[in-house]
Parts: sequence; C-alpha cells; structure tokens
Amino acid sequence: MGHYVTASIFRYDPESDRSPRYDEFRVPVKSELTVLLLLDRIQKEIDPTLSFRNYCCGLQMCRSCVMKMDRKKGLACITLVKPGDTVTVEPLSFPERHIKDLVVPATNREDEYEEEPQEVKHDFYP
Amino acid sequence: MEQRSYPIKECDVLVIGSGSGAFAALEAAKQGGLRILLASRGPVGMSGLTPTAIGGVASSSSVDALFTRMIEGGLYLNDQDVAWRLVNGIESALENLKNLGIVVMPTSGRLVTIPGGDALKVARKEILKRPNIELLEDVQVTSLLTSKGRAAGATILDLERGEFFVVRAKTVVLATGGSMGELYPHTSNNPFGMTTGSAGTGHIMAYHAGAELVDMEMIQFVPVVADPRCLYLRYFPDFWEGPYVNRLGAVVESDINRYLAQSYSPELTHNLFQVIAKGNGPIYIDKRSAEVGEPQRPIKSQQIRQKLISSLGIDPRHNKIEVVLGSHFSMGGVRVNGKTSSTLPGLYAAGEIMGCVHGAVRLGSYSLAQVIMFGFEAGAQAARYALTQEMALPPARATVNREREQVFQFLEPKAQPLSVARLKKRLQKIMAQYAFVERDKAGLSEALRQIGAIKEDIPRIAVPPFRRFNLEWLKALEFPFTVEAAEIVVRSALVREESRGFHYRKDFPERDDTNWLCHTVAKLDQGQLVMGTAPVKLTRLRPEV
Repeated sequence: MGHYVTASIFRYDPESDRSPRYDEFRVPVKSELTVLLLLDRIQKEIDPTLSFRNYCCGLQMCRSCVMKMDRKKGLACITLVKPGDTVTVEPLSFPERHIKDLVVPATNREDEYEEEPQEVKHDFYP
Repeated sequence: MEQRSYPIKECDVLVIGSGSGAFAALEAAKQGGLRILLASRGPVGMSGLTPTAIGGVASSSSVDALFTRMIEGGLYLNDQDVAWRLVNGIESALENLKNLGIVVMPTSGRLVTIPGGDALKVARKEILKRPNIELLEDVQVTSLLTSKGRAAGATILDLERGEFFVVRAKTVVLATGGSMGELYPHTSNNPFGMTTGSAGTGHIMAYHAGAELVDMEMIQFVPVVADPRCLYLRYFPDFWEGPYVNRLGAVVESDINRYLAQSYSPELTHNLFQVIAKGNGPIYIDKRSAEVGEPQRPIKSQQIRQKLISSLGIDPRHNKIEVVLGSHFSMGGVRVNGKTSSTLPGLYAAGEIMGCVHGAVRLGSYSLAQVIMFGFEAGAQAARYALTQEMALPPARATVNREREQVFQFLEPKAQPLSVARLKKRLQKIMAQYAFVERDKAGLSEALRQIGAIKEDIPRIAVPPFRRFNLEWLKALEFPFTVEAAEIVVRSALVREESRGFHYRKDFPERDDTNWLCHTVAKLDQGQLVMGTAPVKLTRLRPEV
C-alpha cells in the first residue's frame, strides 16, 4: 500500500515513433479516483505530450473514454483505481489508423455506438 | 501575390458544433442537393455539452403560459420575437425528432425528456449514410472567414493530424454552445474539472467576423460539488435539494425546491455566495440526519453512477459534501433575430451561443428546447440563403496565411515560456474575484487591468512541438478566445449599471427598468472592442410599472 498509483500507458506517435512503447508513471494520489482523472493528472502535471480523449460528460454517458484497462475494455470515467494499485492502459484498437497513444479514430468504434444502448430515464426536473 | 500554403474544401452550408444544435441544423439544411459540412471538435455524440444535459424540454403546456413564464423569469431582457418563435416551435421540433427515431419521453406534466447523448449517436448513424453531408470530427475551427461583409467559411485545424485547412462556404451555422466553462475556477461545464471545450471560441470567432454579442455579463452560477471537482449535482436529484448547511452546521437552505420555478435561481446563488463571503463557508450538503432510504435507481446506468459516487465517498447520506459556486449557462451571446440570423449576413447561430433568448435568467428545461428548435430553424434559414446565393469570393490568401502562422506559432520555442494552465489559473482567479456573483465598478476595472496583463503574456505560451492530438496545443489555441470572452464579460458588466437576474452590481443593487431595460452590445470596430446598448424587443409583454 503506497500513496501512488502506478500506471503503465501505451504510447505511440505514428509520425515519430518506430514502434509502440509503454511508459510507466508513478502518480501521487490521496484517495480513490477514476482512470480518466488519473490520465488527466498525468497529462497536466507529469507529461503534457500524453494524448487521450479527454472529453468528459461526467458519468458514462458519452463513452468517449472507452479504452482497455488491464486488457479489459471499459470506460475510464467509471473505472476506479486506489493508492497502491497498478494499472495498464491501452487503446481500444491497434494498429488500424492509430492516431496517437490512447486515441483511435471514432470510426474504429462503430460497434461502440451499437453496444449497450443506455436507457436513461430521468423523472425529475432538469 | 502571396503563395497559398493550405488545402481548401468547399461546401454550401458549413455547420460548426458537436451537439444537438449542430445536428438539428444539419438535418434541416439537407435540401435541394446542398453540400453540407459539419465541423465538430470531437466525435458527434461524444463531445459538446449535449451528452451532459439532463434532457428535459419544456412542452405540453400552453404556448402563452410557456412564453409568460419565460419572459417573467428572464426579467424582460429576452427579445420577445425570439422567445415567441421558440415557444411556438417546440412542438414541431419534437415531432421532427420523433420522425428521426429519437426517443422523446413524456416525463412530468409539462416536460418531455430526450436522452441527448443517445439521440446524437442515433443521429450520427443517419449522418454517415447521407451522400451530401461530410462529417469532420476531431477538428477545431480557428477563425471564421468573411468576404465583402458576409460569412464565407472558416479556417480549421485537424486535431488528429495537426493539419490546417480552409473551408469555403456560402453560409455558416454556429452551434458551438456556451462560452463560460473556462472563465471561472469551477463550472458545471467541466465535470470532474476536465475541460469540455466550452472556451468561448464560437462567441469570439463570431465577434471577430463582425457579429454583435449581447448581454455577455449574464452568466448563470450554480452550486457544484467541490471534490470531485464540479460534479454536476443535478444528476442526483435527491441530493441536490439539500439541506445546505454552513461551516458551523447551521442550515442556510433547507429545501431548494422552493426555487424550482426558476431552476437555478439568482436568489439561491446569491444567498449561498453571501454565506461564504461572510466567512461562514464552506457550504455542505448534509443529508446524514435525514430519513433517506436507498435511492430509487431503476436504470442500470443510474445504478452504476450510484455505485461510483458511493465508492468515491460522495454519497450525502454518509458524507458531508462540500459545494462551491460555478458557472453553468451563458444567457448572453450572438445577437440574433427570431430566424437565428446574426448581424453578419450569412452567419446563423443556434443553441446556447445565441443571445436574446433567455434574458437575465435561464429557466430549467428551456435550454434544450432552444437548442433543438433553433437548430432546425438555423439549418432551414441557412439552406434558404445558400440556395439563393453564389459562393462568396475566396478569402484573401494573406489573411489565411496569417491565421495559419498564428496557429502554428504555438509550437515554436519561446524565450520565456509559460504554460496555458498557469495563465488560465490567473484568469480564473481574476474572474472569480471581480466578475463573479457580485460585481462593482472598482473591481471590474481592476479585472480589466489584470486581463490586459494576461493578454501581453499570451505570446509566451509554449506547447510541446508535435502535431498529432496535441492536447496542450488545443488548450493554447482556445486560450486567447477565453481571455477575450472574459474581457467582454467584464466590459459588459461595467456597462450595465443596475442589478437584474444573474448580474448583481453592489454599487447599483436595484433593477432599473427606466434606464436598463436594454441589451448591452459588444462589437468589434476597426479592431477595437466598442460597447453600446440596444433596445429589447418588447413586442408582447411589458413589465408592470
């Protein structure tokens, strides 16, 4: 148990890198947080060259943060990590038309639009 | 003659935006074989603010009742021809949505709900099938082009590859949403503190192109969760109600349902602001002593959210939740008429970017109605314009080359580099201190001085030099727009010497219909910001004297 999350992140810029690599980041954290926030912290505080789809609707509505965490496909905005954890973060698909690091084209994700339609019913005043 | 260093695309109608307004405009513009191009900052349905919207649309009530509520709520600062168009157009806009296979669910008595994000994903599939529509996703528009006094297209940066190009168009629809997300330290526009691109780009591009902005001082501030930053409270209606308590545990708002007629009311915001100003903050939502059972979350996504907030330690049944005030909605924006025409020929505006609609207070369930109804309207108007007009003359090469240089200079090394984050923090601090819930002349003047100093530091912004999906570059591109939006908000707030709705001047604490029943107007003239006023269109209702 430490006060860090260790993240191993897939990195690849097709313009300048010959092959993909994994960068390891030790991120100081106080409490549990989502992988999306972890990536945001890394980009803002440690490595500004990290690319990921940082759009965030808040909570699993836009699905823009679909990626692989520990080899499993999921939404980074609802996947939690806590101090002491290690996590491997990879793009949803590779290598087809890869853009950079964790970013893949929206059109690689056609099936993402099909999957699990979110039936959200709000019965309260907006 | 200057060499051209950029590719050019051509279309009839260029729609800029990512959300429902852009989609509705696209849908309505596809007529007469027009070639339409949509420029969206991210994938449609995965960007813009629509997926964050709760989805309520004012409906199922009499048009007159909807209208009166809107004008009285907006404290008569709405242009009534525009508001009248809105309330009369909602039903047919909802019909249009249903015909497209988008779910419109009746909820309570006078409300329907549209799950915005899902609707956009349905829409996106439709768009991709159409031969006349080209979808450009992951692009940032960097400027609007004009030619002989009319809209003529835009310059665009493809974020995926870092390539700059020009789109020539007969007409442009701006549906870029609100502008106030980046102006203040906290905002519901940035859930979890992550940017959603509500950076003022659309407003300021329109202004640079020659369109007028109105009532930019009118910004809705609401309570948001302090940590995780800016979590949108209203996703959890049973928590949002309160009670709100101060640092000492004394209740400051027992049940905010009394404000619901105005959704987020300026009185609620002002009350909470003063609790903090008097040193009795922070404010918490505390339901630990209330008899609250397990919240009813019948839908899977709601259950996941409930689990997430429990895991993060932000379930008010078990924890005190600190709330802070943040920006939420921009009532001001591009000056339009009821047909969404801006003051620049060929430029239409739809959605939150419009001014003139909500006046001094935006009511709950009127904004998505605005986005959809005026989205369709803007598309139809733009199509009509495009069917009768020739392509505008091409933009001057020198202008475009200069814009290209502006975009790429961020990647150049700087002598005394500054990060965008640092400058943005400075800007947000100024706005929170001087141009927030309470304002006065001295503070606003000081804000202007300090914003001027930030402007001088913009050329020092340094960005890591690579082109593909460079998040720092995108932030750097947006930042000058945000600074200019801040300046216009402050200048507009200085002009309006009264208090009305979300604009509260400590030095002019009363509403003053004799002198200030008018719009503030910001306009670019010979490269300078010029402030003025314009009459409000009071075509149907007048305030009681």
